[in-house]
Amino acid sequence: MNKRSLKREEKQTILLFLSLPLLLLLIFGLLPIATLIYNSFTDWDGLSVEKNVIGFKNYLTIWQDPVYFQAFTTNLFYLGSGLLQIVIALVLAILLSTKTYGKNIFKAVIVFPIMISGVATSLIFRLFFEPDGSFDQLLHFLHLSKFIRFWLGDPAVANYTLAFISLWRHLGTSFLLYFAAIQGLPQVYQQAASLEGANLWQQTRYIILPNIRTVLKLNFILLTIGAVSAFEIPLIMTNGANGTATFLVQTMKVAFDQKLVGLGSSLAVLMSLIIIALSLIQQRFQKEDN
Amino acid sequence: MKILAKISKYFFLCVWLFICCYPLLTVFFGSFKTYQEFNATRGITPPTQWHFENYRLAFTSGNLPQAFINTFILVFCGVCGSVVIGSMVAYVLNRFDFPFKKLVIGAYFFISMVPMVVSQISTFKIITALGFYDRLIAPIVIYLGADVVMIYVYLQMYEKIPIELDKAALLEGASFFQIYRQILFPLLRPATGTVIVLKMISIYNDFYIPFLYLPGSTHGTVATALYRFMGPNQTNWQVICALVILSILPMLIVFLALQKYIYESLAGGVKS
Repeated sequence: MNKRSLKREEKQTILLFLSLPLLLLLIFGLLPIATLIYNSFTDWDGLSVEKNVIGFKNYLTIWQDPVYFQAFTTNLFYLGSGLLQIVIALVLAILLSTKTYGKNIFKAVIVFPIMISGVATSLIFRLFFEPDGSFDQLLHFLHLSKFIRFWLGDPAVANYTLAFISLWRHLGTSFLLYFAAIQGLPQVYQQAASLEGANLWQQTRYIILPNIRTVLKLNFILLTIGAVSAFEIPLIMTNGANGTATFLVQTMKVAFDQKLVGLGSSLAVLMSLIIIALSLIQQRFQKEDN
Repeated sequence: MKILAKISKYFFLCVWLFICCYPLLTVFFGSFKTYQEFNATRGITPPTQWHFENYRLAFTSGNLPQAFINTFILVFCGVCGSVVIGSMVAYVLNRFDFPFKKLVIGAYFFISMVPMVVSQISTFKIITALGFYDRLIAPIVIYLGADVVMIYVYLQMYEKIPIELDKAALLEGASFFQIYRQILFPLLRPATGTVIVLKMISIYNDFYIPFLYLPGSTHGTVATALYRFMGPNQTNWQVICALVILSILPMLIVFLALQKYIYESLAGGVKS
């Protein structure tokens, strides 16, 4: 086959393989985002035909009115739960990488919650945290009855409750990342270390932690992005009531309930910028480690 | 000292095991109680008699058979589409050089960073204009249009397959399509496994997209059927419990069957 016809076939292949996926990408991926950015410069209400370009006015409103950024303080609860997730998942992964009875059962139970849908999860926990529900019963049993609250209704604790549910639901992913990373470490180091009498803490400190640094960093950034975009659990559990509206839940309320699509779009654009910045940081980290 | 360390290790593991299981147990017990018993003994008490009535009710009144069929169609199409599109796009991006290549890769990564939830206002208009509203095709095209995971997983796999393989086949007179189809695709099996598992989990569990685009009662998925049933039936918690268990069951079976692949695929990002 000569060179020119090969070149032509290459072009045909590229065209054939890319045309449908790129069409889908364009229509259902990029076009909505372009419209989103355009809307963020308008005063559109989402329903009427009228749509005026008002420049950066929406962004100015957000900048001047601290109420919009305040929702990010709710996201901090999810960041906190993400940090806790790293610690607990790491401990579980290290413990289970040693010889353990019933290892497979522990592993399966830790991972399974990530397979349960958000709706099912929130129903489970609505029942769990209701007054006189299973959680209150547990507290009675532990003689801690005086701490009982309206776990989902009291603004002082509702966010802790939701952050815990998020932890319950997502811990399996972190656990898997760490567990696989630890399994991937060369066994000789740990064998040598335990021969020399190093205990589990010393092995963790000097062998495991330094060697899974990349995974820890990656997971940290992923959890941060997850915390910034937390939305499903507060939406289905409380619909953002009692001070549980995260930034994204609030953005949806502004856009859909208050019919301020323009302003809501600006909030969405700002949030995307934050996520893009975080992703760039993550790529930096990964490059450094390679 | 050693004994103490062992005891605290198992203690910690069991505490987390308890935290994982205890909330689920509430729902499990609840699903076997009668209306009266459920309201008399809420929380974590096993039923005095195990009733299966709730499951029958859940299955008939929750529109569950149709929801399972719909979910199955979405998962099936979503998974197949992801495998075909992901492997083909990644093939072109990894093996050929052409103008706009960086732009295509960049576009896929870019859309993954914009919260999909908010751009739905615009997507909604597009879906309606195309006449896809309230039809199963709507979620499918959305899942397939904006999915960076499949591309990413396949790109990484292609990088590990030496290009000499392609060149050798080319000399033998194979076309590019044949190379992709007969040589590379079989070698991509681990990546395909990962894509299947990840897509299956994410589509089965997705709530927002079907909720938005499949409002018709016959068109719900398992996740939305559950949400819709709950609305007017807040008092029938024992049936809701049965629905929750029924919705978890298929995933439990998948999980137990594919456990090995799930561990590999979710951990796959580590080794890169």
